[in-house]
Amino acid sequence: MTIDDIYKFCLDLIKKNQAGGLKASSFQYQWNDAQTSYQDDLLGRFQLRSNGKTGFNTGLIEDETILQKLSPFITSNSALTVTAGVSAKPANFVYRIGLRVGGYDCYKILQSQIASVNNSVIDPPSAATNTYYFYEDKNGFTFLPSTITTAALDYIVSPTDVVWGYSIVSGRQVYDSATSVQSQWDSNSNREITKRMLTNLGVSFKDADMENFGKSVQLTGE
Amino acid sequence: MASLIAYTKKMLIERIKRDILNDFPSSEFNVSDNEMVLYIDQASAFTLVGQVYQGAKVSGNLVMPEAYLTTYEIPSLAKDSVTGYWKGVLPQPPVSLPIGYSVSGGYFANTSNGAGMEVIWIKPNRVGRRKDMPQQFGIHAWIQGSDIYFAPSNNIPLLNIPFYITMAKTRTESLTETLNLPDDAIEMIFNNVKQKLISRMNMPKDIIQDDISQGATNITNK
Repeated sequence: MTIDDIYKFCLDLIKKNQAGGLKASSFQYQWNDAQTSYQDDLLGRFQLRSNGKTGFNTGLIEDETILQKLSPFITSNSALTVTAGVSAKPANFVYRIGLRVGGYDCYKILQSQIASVNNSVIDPPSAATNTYYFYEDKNGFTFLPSTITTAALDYIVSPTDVVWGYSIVSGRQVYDSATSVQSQWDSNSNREITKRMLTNLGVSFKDADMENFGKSVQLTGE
Repeated sequence: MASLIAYTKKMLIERIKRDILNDFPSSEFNVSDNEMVLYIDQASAFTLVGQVYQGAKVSGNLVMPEAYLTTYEIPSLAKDSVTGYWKGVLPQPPVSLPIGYSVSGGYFANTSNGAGMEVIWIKPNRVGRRKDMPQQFGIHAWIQGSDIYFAPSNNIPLLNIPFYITMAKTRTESLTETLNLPDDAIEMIFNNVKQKLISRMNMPKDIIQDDISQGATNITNK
């Protein structure tokens, strides 16, 4: 499904035309917003879930459906450079799904646990025993022990912004695949994202039906 | 001869993890191997002592299952200049069974003379009394914690004579060594450790690491 197909599907949904209803640039803005929102939903919105202490999930639930939809955005860096125990997050980083040092697990801790981890008598941070920890802050990942120089990171990146490229033919914008940037999502997700963006378009057009439809899609998927 | 699987603690650890998570453990499973082995060692000792006393209820005799026994070499002893006793250090304090069961035997041996006579075990609280009684010929030995003391009846020096002690082993030397216990005890150890870990995981907690794979809770996400 090309970005042109998606655009046409969108125009058909809202019964507007390109000239006076929905400009390609507006479509791009709205669709890109909708796709990041869709990805956030897949990653797990904390607003939708109980945030109790008993262990309910607030983040990514790695079931097959979600993982397959997110698979175009799952990437890895097997040689993340660590300098003085700190590694910056890669560009477009959204979500960490795995972090290892030398093939061994790197266990996530919080800043409030640093002291107890450093003073642990059972599992102190140690390259000799392959016991690694990390915590996150504005600098990226900070590792314990700080002597390590490289790590392997599996993570989810944000989707690339789509572009409906065009050339001007007879004074009109005509789709040009060469200058377009296609969606990375699967076809089903493309359709769902397009329908979800009607929430924003409804606000833009002051059309409650359109807005309600978009919200309904966000809740039910159709 | 048929080749059988060697049961190791590493294998038991992995089995418990996979049983609890119904899958390979993810990095979110926050029980390390070092920690798990402490649970296992604790359960081993508990199971061993229970097994011996349970057996006594049926047979009327205390019987130490041979599979728990290991013979250690204590290469060098030191003479206490004040008391004149010879002293060595055991690999672990004996389990809480009467002497003769927790420690089943000990002898001195070297390459030129082979194994000598078994030492005569006495209880620490009988040491003073024994000294005042006519002494049986041989080396008298008693244990305090992980220290072992020797008092030869003829005061012969024990310098540089290795001592061999056969005792119940409930601690881990290496995760890859073959399990030093009867197969029928694995069931109790497995259940004991699993129950402790599951109750630990069900504790409400502030830190919910929901970003990576299935939770370290009893909630299966997959």
